[in-house]
Amino acid sequence: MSKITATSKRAPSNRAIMSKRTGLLTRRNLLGGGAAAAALAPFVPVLSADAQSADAPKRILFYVFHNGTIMDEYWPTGMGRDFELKRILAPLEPFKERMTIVGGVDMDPAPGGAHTGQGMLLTNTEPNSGRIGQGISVDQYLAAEIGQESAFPSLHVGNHSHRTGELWLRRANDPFPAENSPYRTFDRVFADFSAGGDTSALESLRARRQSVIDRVSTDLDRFRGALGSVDQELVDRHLTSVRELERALEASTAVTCAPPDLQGGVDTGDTSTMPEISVLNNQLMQAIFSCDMTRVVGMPVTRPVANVVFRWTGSTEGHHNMSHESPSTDEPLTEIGSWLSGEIADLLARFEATPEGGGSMLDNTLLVFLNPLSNGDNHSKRDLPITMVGGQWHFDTGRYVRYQNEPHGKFLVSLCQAMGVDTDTFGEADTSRGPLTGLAL
Amino acid sequence: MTAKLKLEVGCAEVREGSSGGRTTTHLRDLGLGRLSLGFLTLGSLTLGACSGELASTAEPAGSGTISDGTTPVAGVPTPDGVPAVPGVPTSGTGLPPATPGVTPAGGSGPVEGEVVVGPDGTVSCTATSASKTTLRRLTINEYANAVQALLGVEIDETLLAADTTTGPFATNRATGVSLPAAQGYQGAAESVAEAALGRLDQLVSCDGGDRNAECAMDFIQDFAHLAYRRALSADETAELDAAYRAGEDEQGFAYGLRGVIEHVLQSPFFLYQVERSEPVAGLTGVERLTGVSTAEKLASFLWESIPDRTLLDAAEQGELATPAGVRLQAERMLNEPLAAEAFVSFFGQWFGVEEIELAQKDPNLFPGFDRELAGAMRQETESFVRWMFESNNFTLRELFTSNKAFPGEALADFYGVDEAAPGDPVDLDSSRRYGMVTHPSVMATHSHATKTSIVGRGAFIREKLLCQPLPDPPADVDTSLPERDETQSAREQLAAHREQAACFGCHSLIDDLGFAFENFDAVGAYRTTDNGMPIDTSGELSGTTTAGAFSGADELIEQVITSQEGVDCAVAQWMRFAQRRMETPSDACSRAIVSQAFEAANFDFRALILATVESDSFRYRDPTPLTSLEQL
Repeated sequence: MSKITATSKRAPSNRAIMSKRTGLLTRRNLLGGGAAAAALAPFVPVLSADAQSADAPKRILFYVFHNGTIMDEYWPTGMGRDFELKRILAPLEPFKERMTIVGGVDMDPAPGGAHTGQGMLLTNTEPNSGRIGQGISVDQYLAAEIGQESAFPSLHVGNHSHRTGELWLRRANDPFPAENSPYRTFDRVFADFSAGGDTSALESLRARRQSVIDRVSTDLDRFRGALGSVDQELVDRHLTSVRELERALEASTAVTCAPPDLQGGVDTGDTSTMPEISVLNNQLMQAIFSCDMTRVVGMPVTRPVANVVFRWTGSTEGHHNMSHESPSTDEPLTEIGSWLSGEIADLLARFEATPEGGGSMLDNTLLVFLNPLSNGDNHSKRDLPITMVGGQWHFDTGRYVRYQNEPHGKFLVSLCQAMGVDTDTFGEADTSRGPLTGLAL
Repeated sequence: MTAKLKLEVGCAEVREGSSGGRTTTHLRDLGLGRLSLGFLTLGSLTLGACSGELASTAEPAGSGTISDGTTPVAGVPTPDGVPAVPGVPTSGTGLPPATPGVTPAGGSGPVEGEVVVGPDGTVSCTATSASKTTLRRLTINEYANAVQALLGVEIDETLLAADTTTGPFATNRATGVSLPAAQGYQGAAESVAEAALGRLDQLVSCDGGDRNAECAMDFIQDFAHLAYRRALSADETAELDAAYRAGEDEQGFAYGLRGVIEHVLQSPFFLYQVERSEPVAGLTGVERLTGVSTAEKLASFLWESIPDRTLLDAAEQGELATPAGVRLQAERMLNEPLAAEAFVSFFGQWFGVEEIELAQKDPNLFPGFDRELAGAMRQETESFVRWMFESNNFTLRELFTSNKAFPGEALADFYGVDEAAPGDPVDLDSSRRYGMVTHPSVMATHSHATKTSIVGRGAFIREKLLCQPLPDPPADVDTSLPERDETQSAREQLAAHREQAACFGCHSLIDDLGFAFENFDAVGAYRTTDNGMPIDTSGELSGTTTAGAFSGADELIEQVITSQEGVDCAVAQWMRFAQRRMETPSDACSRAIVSQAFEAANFDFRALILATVESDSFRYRDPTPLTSLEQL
């Protein structure tokens, strides 16, 4: 007989508090000891054959912020190829020739209610009462279309974002959460091939994982059989995810690049560490693209209605609160916007510094910087702040383009076409007969 | 107690009212009568643009249209033929379960019961409250407690994907497992298995020399039986045996167990709860949950865990088929320390206390506020819940009016009191502490970084304590307030809400309730002035049976907890947590019975809990297959 009695005696404790403080390096979990962390080499790009070829994979990255922006400091002066960046986008000046700033695009018809934009932003569907979009989001659509050759169809790396996901949907009401801890992202993306020199531990882990995945899949089939059709559909989603786990495991054996060397010890549960997490995520993203672990990325910063105090930019009040106190808060909100553009510039600089084919990684990357609101004060979903950097294989860049009340669904179609996916509509067909004219080369 | 359903023989006083555009009849003082409850869905209505008078969304559980005054009332038993209200005799006691169940209208609609009020004032139902349900997964807390129970291992909860919620409560109902969530389960299982191997001596019954396949399979059978809440099938036993042996061949005994533990903790049989049921003679359209499903619900509700051996044994031996059998187990479970922790979690989720750790305050204005202090605030509220539960002051009144603080060491300066041992109560002046709403953990959570959130606090009272959901601000309405100058009070600044029709509809229902708490600043510290100006905490509560003016937090809270809406909301929140789902129209009858038991026990939560687990709503289900998730 075993000694299991299962009357749990878990001591009353402040376990949740503690665990949030210990979200640190957990590579040990995967390798049965502390050896792995020490064995990690500094990141040296050892590019896969695919990435080194002239036609490196094209990638798209959605960088999403919330609560609107300060329009007067966001939109450039001038128009077309003759424009000057204002304070919020100024840190992107080094990439001006790669930028396309798109004005005059609205959610149409705008969803009812104030905090609903995030459900529509990437789905072009009217969100339900729970603010969740009612169709697949464009990142997941592209993941299905172009993400199947990399280890992960998509990766979503947040910075104090909503862990249940509000932007990213596999289908109506089926959110795809982002991971807020760079360390956890590291574990999930790189652990399968990061055993340092210990190949036998790695092989053992892989074999065990494969065997467990096989048996869990058998259980899911059995479990599914005894359920009604609605419950079966939920189990099908689980089965899909387990198959993706398996695929990531298989893909990892073919990867030959080394993981990045992340600085440890950042408290990922504390919003005051956003700047540190931003750097870690940027490092990770460059490595993830180098290793071709994915071609579709979401990088959500905070969550809708988040009240993070951006102290490092001089703020003393929460972001959402300030977004409703214009004009007295225009200055701190502009500072926040500018800081964020600086983080994006840091990410782009890492891409640009990574050789790929005859040029750089940035030549094969499209970064789309979005916000589900334009003006936070009135929760406006008109004249959405849209900035793209890169995507020069498709877009005529180095411009500030302004439309007159075009529905944003057309913009989503433009993105699909840029990624080589031939579609004329996205989400609600009536409001996305696109693409936006005049954006592409 | 005013305006609570009075169930005495006497004249019926019927008040006509308007609710969400539909005319309903509120029963105030009822004699013999019969209430049709089919339309009652607590909290499901929205206020639209909040125009006009507040529609009461918290329908009184025991009210409804009088459909038929001629139906006999005595002798309507619950399906098990036992008194509907525990401890309260009914004339239906002992009758066989001959009363036909209710056939759903059209064959697939919700089963809508009718409440019958007996001559002695007891309440029973003509039909069995039973709802359709769908699959759900263990919440993070349930997973953590289950792993602790099964293997004695504490997990790093951040490994798991966030829970999805129903109302304020984590439920993980009707959600799939995304790739990140599957990675979370994989990582958690691997981490738990590794930790479990470190304490194998406590888990297996054989010593080093005897560690063989037989001993391993003993452990695996017991472990999986509890984890899956059922015995393994022959196929499963063979598969796990083979898996163990493969691992043992490779790296020995412990490694063989490692892969098995990793598998079982990722198996759907561990991760999901399915409500299964079986027909009961004499009932159509509803079925009673199996013993195991009842046990799973009990363990989720009372322990946030999975059943232990004793509970599972009771389930497997058919002891959970009656309310008495369920009650017996529930009473046992309430004596375990895990029960207090489950209720700590319940109140924490209901009042949003868990958000305190995300709260940020301006360090210039509130230099002492850091994560450590925030953690101490949360722990104080947890201590308060444990104290209520363990000291038998586990009542609605104590929750909302207690002047107890639990400063420990960390909050002594904050309160200006002497340090106390952790968990020891200290009496505060009753002007400074009026129940859990006025805890710093709650007041600081419902505040901005530099100032209080009058709107946030008012909305909290409306939505969480009165179950009256408020809509978002309309799109395209400018929500920015005019800048507050030095001479203005916060109340004067918010007066702008009254000048715009688009704002006033809702804010007339919100702002006054927030003013009541202005004596508590943005970190929940007591104050008598704001920005050098005196504080006016008066206002008016509308939309409840206790509507009227109040002078401050104490009077407002009194109005909330003595209102029909406040009591019904408390019952509803408990039942949402108990069932891990929102209420359905079919639940109304059981809710009325639970409400009555709650009131009969002077609003003691233990009585509410026991009445809940005994209720039809908890123990039965509508087996009609769902055709889409939207049907829920």
